[in-house]
Amino acid sequence: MILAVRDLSKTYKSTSTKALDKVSINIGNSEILGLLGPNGAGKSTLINIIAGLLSADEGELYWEGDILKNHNLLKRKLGLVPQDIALYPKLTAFENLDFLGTQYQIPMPLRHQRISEALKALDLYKERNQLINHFSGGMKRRINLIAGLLHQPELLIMDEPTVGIDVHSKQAIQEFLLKLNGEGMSMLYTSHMMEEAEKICHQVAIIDHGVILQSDSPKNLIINTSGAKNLEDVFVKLTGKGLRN
Amino acid sequence: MIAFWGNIKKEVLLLIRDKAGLGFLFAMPIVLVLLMTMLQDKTVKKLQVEKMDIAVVNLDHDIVGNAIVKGLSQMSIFNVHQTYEGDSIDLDLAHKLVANGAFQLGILIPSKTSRKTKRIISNEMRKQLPSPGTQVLNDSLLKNVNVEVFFDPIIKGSLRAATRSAISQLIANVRTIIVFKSYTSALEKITGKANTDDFPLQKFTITEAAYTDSMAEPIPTSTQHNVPAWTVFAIFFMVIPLATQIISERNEGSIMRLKLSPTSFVNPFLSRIIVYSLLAVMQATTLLLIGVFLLPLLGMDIFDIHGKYISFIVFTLFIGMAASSFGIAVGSIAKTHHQASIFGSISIVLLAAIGGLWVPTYMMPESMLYMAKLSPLNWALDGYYDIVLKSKGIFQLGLPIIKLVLFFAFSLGLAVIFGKRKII
Repeated sequence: MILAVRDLSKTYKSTSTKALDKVSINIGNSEILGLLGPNGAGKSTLINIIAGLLSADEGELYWEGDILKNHNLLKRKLGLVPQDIALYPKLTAFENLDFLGTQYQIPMPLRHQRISEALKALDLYKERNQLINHFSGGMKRRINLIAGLLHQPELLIMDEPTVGIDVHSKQAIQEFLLKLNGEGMSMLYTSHMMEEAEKICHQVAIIDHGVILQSDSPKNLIINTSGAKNLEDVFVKLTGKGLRN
Repeated sequence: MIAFWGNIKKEVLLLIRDKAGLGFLFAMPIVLVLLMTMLQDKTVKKLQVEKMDIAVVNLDHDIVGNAIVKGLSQMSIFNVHQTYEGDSIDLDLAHKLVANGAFQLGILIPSKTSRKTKRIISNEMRKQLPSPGTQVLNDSLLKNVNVEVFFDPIIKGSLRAATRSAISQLIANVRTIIVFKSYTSALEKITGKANTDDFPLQKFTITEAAYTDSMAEPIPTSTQHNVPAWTVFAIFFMVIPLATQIISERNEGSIMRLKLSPTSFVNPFLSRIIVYSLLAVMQATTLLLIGVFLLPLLGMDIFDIHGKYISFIVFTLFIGMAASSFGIAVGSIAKTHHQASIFGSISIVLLAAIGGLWVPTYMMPESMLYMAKLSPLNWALDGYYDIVLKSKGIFQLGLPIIKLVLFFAFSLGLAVIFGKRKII
């Protein structure tokens, strides 16, 4: 087990909204855990607490079995791919990645090697010297992904990494993620796309109103939910048909 | 160090990619320096003690006339002209030149002034040391010695009085010499003893010393005010692009990536301060070159910093530090680009106005002087004034530097407090 979350709770004081209520999840070594939930379910809050951007009111995090007391120790082991394109539009793809690589103290030759390899793997090497603000949405998503894993984290956290992009970019990203996972990288992955989650996740946790409703492999979830033919059916059955804002 | 240099490189790249913003930071002060220096040049010069151009018509060409011309030429407040555009100045021309404003003052030393002076003195001597064969004339038979002075009516009364007094003094001096020589000559005849000494006029001197307190600062020329003033203004204007960039970084999520990285939280601040302080030095150097090379070509005073280039650059770095930390604070507090632009520009313009950048502090009423001392832009300008007007070196700029460093620390403190709150 690389990461275990135990009884995590969080209430936003400004709105008195309980975003998480005793949430517990496990991410195994070399495992992809899909965190699925409608808007406002608490996915981003959970990701931000795991990444160390927010503090929890209650609960604990365990890293490889040990309770996590100092989040700074995790900074080199965690990678985050935020939903927003967190890049500098006026820098080129290479400059963006090079800068982010320096922030993890990666020496220049190794940094440039990793950047080139990742750009080639995601078919962006030719465009490496173009400014990010000239990139399409799919290209930006691919660079955003590379930016999160240049330091080769043990656990990669992704917040809807394929939202709003074309099929080709989506497929390229999925293949790239599966390749990294095959090399041993663990992943926590949120998405609205059930088909995608079903395809790449080993485990899925469905969250709503800050509570984990079910957690199992996609196959087991489908089997154990009466009348469900796929993960989408399971999701709708568990979270209801009401619209969310 | 890898992270630090990475931040420096990123800041430089972001700065040079914003060509419009960068161009503005250089073009705006250049235009302002040229425009404001030209606009204020005449006004400021009139406020300062200048040399007065005077036309002298010396028809005497003898001891009195020559002594007056020589004496006036040696005075620091007069430029004595006896020719105009290659022609010698006669009385008609002198009247015309004063009437049309080419000269502020004219002096006519009539012909035979020396002779008349000598005759008056000789007659007085004959009264006191009568000798056989000499005749004492009745005073009414002797002609008066009169030097005519004519003014441009706009000349201040105090200047007219000073001129009259100066000419009277010069006539008195030459009269003393003539009297001395006449008596010496008469005594030689009586005693048979030769005396070759001149009257020791140089023994009678007036010494002058300026006493100043901290409120009595030297008045800068238009160039000495405008070059440093708009340099300070331009440096502080970096607040807007800097704050805007910080807000973009926060809104686009890049700052979150930095928070997640193991690099120190100080690195992004430090790299910005270094890059923008160096930008301040580049701005100041550009304006210094404008002041040294371009302003004199346009007929204005040269911007002379008395060779204190190192002090100028080091002090500019302190200004750059203060301005960049203020920009970082504005960027950390403001929520949107709009807020940062409005607050940044209004605060800089207001601080510049009360700080004596638009209108120099010596033209301000007493009450405003206390307000001026509250503006960081005034502290920066004071430091530049100390270099330009008093030839002070960097080690003598303690007070402005301490104030700027305190402002830097205060702004950075605000930036850290607000910056940490706004990561997500």
